[in-house]
Amino acid sequence: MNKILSSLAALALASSALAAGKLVIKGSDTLGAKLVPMLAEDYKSKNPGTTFEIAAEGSTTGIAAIIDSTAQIGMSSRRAKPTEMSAALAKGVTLKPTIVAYDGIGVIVSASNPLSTLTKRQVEQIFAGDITDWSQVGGTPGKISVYTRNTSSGTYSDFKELAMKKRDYAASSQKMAGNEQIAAEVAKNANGIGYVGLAYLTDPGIKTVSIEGNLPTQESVLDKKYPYARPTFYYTNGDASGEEAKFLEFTLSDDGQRIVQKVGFVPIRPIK
Amino acid sequence: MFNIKSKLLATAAAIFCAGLAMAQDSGALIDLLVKKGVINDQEAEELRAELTKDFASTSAGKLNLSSAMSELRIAGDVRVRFESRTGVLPNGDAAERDRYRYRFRAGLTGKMANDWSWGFRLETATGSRSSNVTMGDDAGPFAKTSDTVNVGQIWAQWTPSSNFTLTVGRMPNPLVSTLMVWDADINPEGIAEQYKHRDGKLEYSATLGQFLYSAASTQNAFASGATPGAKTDDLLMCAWQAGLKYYTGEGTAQFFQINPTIYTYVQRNNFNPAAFKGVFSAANGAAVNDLTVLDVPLEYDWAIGGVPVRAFGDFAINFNADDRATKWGRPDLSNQDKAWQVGFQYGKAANKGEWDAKVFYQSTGAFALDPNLVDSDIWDSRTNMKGWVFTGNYALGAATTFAATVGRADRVNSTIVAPGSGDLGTNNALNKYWLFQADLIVKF
Repeated sequence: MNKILSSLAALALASSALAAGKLVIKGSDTLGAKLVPMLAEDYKSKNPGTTFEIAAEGSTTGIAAIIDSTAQIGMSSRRAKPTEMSAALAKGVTLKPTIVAYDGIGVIVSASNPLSTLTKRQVEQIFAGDITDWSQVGGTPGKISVYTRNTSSGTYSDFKELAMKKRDYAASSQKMAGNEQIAAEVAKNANGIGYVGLAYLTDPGIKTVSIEGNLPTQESVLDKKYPYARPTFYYTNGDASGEEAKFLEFTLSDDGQRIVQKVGFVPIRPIK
Repeated sequence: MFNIKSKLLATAAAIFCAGLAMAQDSGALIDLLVKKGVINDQEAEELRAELTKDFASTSAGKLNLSSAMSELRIAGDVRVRFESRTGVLPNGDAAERDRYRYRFRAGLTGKMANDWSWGFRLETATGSRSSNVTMGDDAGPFAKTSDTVNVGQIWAQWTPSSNFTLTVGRMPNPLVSTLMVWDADINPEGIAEQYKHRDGKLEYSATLGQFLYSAASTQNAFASGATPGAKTDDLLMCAWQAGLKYYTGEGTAQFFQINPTIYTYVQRNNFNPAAFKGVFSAANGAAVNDLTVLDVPLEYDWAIGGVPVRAFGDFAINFNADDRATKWGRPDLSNQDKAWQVGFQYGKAANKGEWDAKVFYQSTGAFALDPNLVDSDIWDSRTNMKGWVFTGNYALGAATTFAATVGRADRVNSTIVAPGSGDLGTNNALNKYWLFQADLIVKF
């Protein structure tokens, strides 16, 4: 029965999308705030008549949208969790990930903060709330303000896994809706610290802290030397087909990967 | 020559064959395969997704636990019992009570980050000294009116080092004790601090307990209250226990230990709580006036011919027994201030087919112990009783045991009643007592 309902929902989505030439893409703010809209614009110029509905409200919403068949592509900056796989299985949905770009999660502080480097252990302790003053890591004394993404964000989960040994964030941490909001808050707060994707590291008023000597760059992410590097994904229900397959193919093409690079992400392969 | 796809398939097959548990741990292996160039990142992601999907179809894959939790344990037991109690009054009038009973207990315990842990246990029945439900005593045939499930334990614990533990809440009894002093079903409420240090074969310990024996309804009643201005504080029970354990063998199974303990009651003479105030008497068996008890449980575990054996005992004396006896109206019975127990156990029914047998003698003076805490089965929750108990256990399986208990007791002093509130009615004139229990216990 679940499979039948799921198939019907997918059929309804496909029919409406086909009729209107529309692609529904939901999920990650990291991908959906800049990269995917730019890819969509370029795709539309080459495929007139296609329209997009893009909602960037966090990776969790993207994976949920594929499970519920309310989107053709789910953007995610993290891998699907076992509980999400379980929910998908129950609805007859197969979550298939496709790597579309690489990203590095940069740790940022205010440009006025003299600190330039942290160890992995210090990052864990700051974001978990063990370290609460900059003087504890050799900085100018001041109470640290921690900014994180909200819980539906893939970056929120990825950072916990990559940088915090899966520990919970400090109770005093402030949760922001997107990368740009974190960058803006940290820029305004001399005692602030947060994290954003590669594409947001050039936002005004912030600077990136090196992690044990490694800054997040295209090279350090691609060769996996930067500790907080990660792939980003499109999730589809099984193998993509129709319009979403064409858009996926475009994203992975040289033209698409050039946009990936332009936005600040790392392409999945060297671009000619 | 193998191509990449065949290598990928072989890798996947190897991981699948290794089982789902391994599948969850295979991230490092997949990363290594990528690093070695055996598979690329996209193939690795597809492999991860497949493994996660397979894991998601298992029971464990459907659980979503807090990332701050390092361990979650589910444990408990089911016990079905036939019990027969017989009491005889001095005039020969006898009362018998045969019951089929069951008990269910299920607990969750969790270990968290930063040295914290917690526990929660549900138990049948409402009494502090029993989690038994009597079958067939409901309003109608097969009704469930008495089959309630209640919170038996709920506690939080901080263990900043391997030596020190702080526990708050309704907790498993942190004190080393015997049935003579504490019913094993009692989970005291309050705060407990424990320190333990091992130095070679010697282990030293100290346990302090501050237990909320009974709460006052208000600390300072309104003027319109029944007794305006009455001093109404909570009644506290305090315990100070020292411990010395000497390991006689190579492991931890063979040892001698002694745990002298002092029990006192704070604010027991205030107006509230009403249930335990006043003077201990035949009509008021719950009063805790004049109880300052020194209890010394001790135990020696060793082996005879490879079979584990255990000698154990307990001695308790109430330093205020003379006042308790005087207030009762029998100052001549100030010598009823002591309780003692001595016993021996042969074997240990731990694994299927193993058995053990235990015998002990116990004598409890009328004014020696708090009658609200003594075991509810052995001597029917009463003091001023002495007699023998025989217990045997046979392990039907690794977690299934059949147990039988037989006990017989008389009054220690025949000139006063056996105070307490047992299951054989409220008649404290009980002169002789017999107990038989047959249990089937399944643990999970």
